[in-house]
Amino acid sequence: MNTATEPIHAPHATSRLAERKGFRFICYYMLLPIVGYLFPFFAERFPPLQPYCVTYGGSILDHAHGLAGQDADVIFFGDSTAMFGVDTERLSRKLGLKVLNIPNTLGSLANTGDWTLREYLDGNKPPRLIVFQTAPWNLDFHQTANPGPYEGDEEIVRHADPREFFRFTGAHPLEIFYFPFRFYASPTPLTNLRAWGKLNLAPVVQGFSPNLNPVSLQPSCTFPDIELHLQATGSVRELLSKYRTSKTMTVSYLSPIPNCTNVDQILARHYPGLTVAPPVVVPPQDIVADFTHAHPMRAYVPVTTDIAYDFVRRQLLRGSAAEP
Amino acid sequence: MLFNSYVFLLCFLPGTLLIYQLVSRFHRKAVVVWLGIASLIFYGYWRPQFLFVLGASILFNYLISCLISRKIPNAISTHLLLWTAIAGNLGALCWFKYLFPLLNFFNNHLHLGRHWTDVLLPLGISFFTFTQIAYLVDLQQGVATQQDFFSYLLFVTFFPHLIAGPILHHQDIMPQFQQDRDYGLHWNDLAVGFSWFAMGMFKKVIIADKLAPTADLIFSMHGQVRPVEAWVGVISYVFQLYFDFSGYCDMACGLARMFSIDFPLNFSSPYKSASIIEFWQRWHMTLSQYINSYLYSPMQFMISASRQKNGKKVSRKAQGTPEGFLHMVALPTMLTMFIAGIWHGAGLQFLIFGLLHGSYLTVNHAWRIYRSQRKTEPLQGIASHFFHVGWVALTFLCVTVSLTFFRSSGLHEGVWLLERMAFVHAAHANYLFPARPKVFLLIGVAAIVWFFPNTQQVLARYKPALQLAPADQERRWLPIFWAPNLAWGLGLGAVILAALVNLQNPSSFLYFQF
Repeated sequence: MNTATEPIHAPHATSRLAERKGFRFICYYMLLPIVGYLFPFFAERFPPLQPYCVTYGGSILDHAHGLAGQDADVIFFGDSTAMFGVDTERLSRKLGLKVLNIPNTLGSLANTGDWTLREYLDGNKPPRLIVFQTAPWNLDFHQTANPGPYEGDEEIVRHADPREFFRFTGAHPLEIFYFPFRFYASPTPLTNLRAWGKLNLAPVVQGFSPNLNPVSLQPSCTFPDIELHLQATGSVRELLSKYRTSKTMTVSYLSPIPNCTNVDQILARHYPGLTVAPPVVVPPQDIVADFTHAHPMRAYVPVTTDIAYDFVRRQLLRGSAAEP
Repeated sequence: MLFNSYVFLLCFLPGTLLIYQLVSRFHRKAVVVWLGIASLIFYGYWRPQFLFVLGASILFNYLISCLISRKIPNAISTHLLLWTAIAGNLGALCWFKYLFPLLNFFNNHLHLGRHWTDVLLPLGISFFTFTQIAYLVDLQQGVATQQDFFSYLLFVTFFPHLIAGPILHHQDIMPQFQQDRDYGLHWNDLAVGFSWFAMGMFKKVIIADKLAPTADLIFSMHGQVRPVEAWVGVISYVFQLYFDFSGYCDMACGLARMFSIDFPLNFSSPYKSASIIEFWQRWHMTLSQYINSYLYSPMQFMISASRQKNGKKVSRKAQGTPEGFLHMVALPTMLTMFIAGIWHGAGLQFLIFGLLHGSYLTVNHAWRIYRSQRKTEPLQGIASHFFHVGWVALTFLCVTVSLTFFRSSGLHEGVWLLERMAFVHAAHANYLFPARPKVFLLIGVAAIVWFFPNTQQVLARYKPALQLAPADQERRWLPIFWAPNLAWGLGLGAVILAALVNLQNPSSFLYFQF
């Protein structure tokens, strides 16, 4: 008779004792993978652990979920160019109105869509103006090639109510399935304290957080093909009509872009079905050298904010003139 | 489908095991049919069109086997049938693997101004071709028996070995699917199989894939590297190749074990070898055995027969003479390793790899014959250990040089890299990376290679494979043995979790390209 400590000879013995030990071993073996798989879902929902599980992007995006009761007159909703490029505190001062940004990244928008805006509007008074701000090449939120969609998954897992969570799971089952693996691979204080410590983090004020990357674009910069290629404008058009009410105006605003060598191709672009002014062109050295080509350097944010100020002021004036 | 992919680990494997358990309640045949179908799904997942290549190969060879065994009555000579089959198999292999690279090679060197697009190599074509040729040779010689179609299909396609080996011999595997035994899943075998699989995953995902970026970078620099970087890159590759391929084989053996099937071993700590002869007894063992049985031995037999016909001696003593040595040892060795080299691909670098190993083996055989003729007493005590370390280092160095060519994109790239390693033209090199962290990583990996037991040694008490290599049965100073307990369960579970996290960009296995 074979026992678990005896060698197993082929054809492999199947005595009860050995089988029981084998079964118990498989249970031990499966324990960590199963617990490890479920842990991220628990940790992201458990308030004491939440601060340790958040990624860099998530730490900014979290601010979209604490806005209940903070009624604003002007809401910015868009991609990371809005989050990094409009100093909402400065804009509030200049306009004399409360301005808030509901932070998103292109990656999070791909998954969360307008969920955070809906959440805001459910808990607050309707604003006078909603500005949908994106880079000229980010008008399609649902493009599949978005970088960093983990940020969207993360926000859903961290903040969605069960209804929203299951709606999202139904629409993006693989995103939720892969979530725990992405969780462990992302730099957070819990998973990679060293990488987290190297990140430049700035405080988030009214949904604005400056990009602290110190390297700027070269004057000889060029936009890559993916940014020259016009994407569908349906996502923004849909939002404009969805949130336009008698009390709330909606407008689309293109973020300033650097004066790269092939900027003419972007300026010459038409946006079918969308009423939007061409983006303002700014010096390349005032834009951070990253793959987005549209995040202003920290020192330049007042300028991009003032450009946004001019735009918002015009819209508000136009809205006032239209009122009876 | 890759073993190290989510679809395999979380869908294919559990599904296959579950259905295997269900069908095992009916009949042995049902198990054979199901595993055959599952293996075809596994193979066709990446590119379904390659199923036609695999299917055509299996049908062709099975038809020939029926003709050879007279299952289909016929009067054709079995020799003719066998040579037709060998020609057909090698013809298909050459078409996919060599024709277009060779045409492009001649085009480049003769400046013909044409370029042929390579055809995509069907995965595992070498492995399933060799497996089937060996079966037909043995069938023709009366060593193998004719199988029913589904048993044959499973023998060729059984998914754990289909793509990169180990190369199975029909006598090893077919009886295991024909025994009168309980074909259901057994927790015993699942425990050993999953453990071995996790160890293989550790080798592949945690070690080999970590070394890959350094090796890839250095080999892409066309020799524009500093000596230290050249050494770091080349040794990273030498370790990467071992952990990648032996990790794959561990996973394959573990998977087979989950179905209570034993595979032959394919690796036995080859870098611990103290000679090149020993290295080939420990590296890709099933290929070495295959080459020995179906290439080297017949070649040596023919040479011996030819010598005898000419009245020359073929004894061991005759091998000790320069003429006898050249004829009976050097010639078949060089020819065998030449073919083994170009089996890896149609490039000069593979040819050099093969010829280098042919030369190493010839020198090694000459040294052995010289020592046996001198009747030198073996060294004892510390001196023997000292010399052993020296021989291991020398063997590793020889292997490193050969693998430099093996990995290079061309002959010149290999030479440039070796020049850098020898500090030739080092002044023109660029600075690529700080070497120190990578050196520390390599020291850690080297410690695993040289001081830790290999996976079959760790599992030795639970009969991990058909046989243990002689080296695996020796006493060792670090006795680590697997046992079905909590510590091993949690440890290997942690490995699987870590591997799952690292699989977000699954990398292919290096030997898939062959």
